[in-house]
Amino acid sequence: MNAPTTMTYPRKIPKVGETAQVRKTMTVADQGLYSGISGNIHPLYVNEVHAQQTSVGTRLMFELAVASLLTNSLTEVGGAFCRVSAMNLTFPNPTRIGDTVAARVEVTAVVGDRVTCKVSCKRDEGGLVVCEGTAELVEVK
Amino acid sequence: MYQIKTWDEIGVGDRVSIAKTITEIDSAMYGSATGDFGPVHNDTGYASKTRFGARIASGIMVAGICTSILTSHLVGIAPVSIEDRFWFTGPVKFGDTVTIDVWIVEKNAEDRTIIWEASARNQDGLEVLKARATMKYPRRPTPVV
Repeated sequence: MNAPTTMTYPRKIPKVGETAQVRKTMTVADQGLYSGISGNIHPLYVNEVHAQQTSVGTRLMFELAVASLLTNSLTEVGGAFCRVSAMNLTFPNPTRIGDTVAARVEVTAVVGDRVTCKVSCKRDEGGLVVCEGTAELVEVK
Repeated sequence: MYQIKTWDEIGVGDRVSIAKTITEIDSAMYGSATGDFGPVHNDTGYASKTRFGARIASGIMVAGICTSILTSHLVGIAPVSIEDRFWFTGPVKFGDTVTIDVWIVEKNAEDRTIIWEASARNQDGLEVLKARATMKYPRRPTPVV
């Protein structure tokens, strides 16, 4: 019998220029779970008939559900001892249910225990930007 | 939303409507919450051979939307449900958008009960659900949210 393995999460020091990416198709399941968390049942997001009357043509994904993909990549660059201390985001275009989104994080500055990143989410189709801005990580002592 | 309405603020004829697209995830979460994994909701092969031709949402899950808007809009947070009756008059398939109308039909001051009714239609106008139910307005003061 093998000895039990202890998982270790070493402190990681992010470097300027480091990047992380994640891609995901945003599904009706993601939408339903987000509604369950937030209690938000806005008709553009949960009513297909209503959404079809708009230029988007189908239900939208909740913006913060899309932005949550960024936190995945932020975890990757920050390691196990950083938490998100700030995010400043705009959502220039809507994400539709069924869209595949690529979330990307790039470290732009490391000052003391603070890490600043440029962040963006793009729809696969046409590379349309659906979320962009900055995020800051701080080390948890 | 989710405010206290006094007994006098609740009126016979008050009416609220809400629409929602019923999705697979709604059904998956309802199934896991209740343990109802019946094949007509979960088994495409089985459901395709039934008179519905496809998997359908649990009727009582769709009926639950009625109580959501009762509490959030129509009667407020004070009254409690004491008796519900539902008629499941048509199937709800995943992707159907259901519009639910709920209205107050009676107020009985002597026992502080409120009777409400509801009717739900899908995007094609087919009535899929009817309801008639009783709520009780408590005598004890309602805690402030």
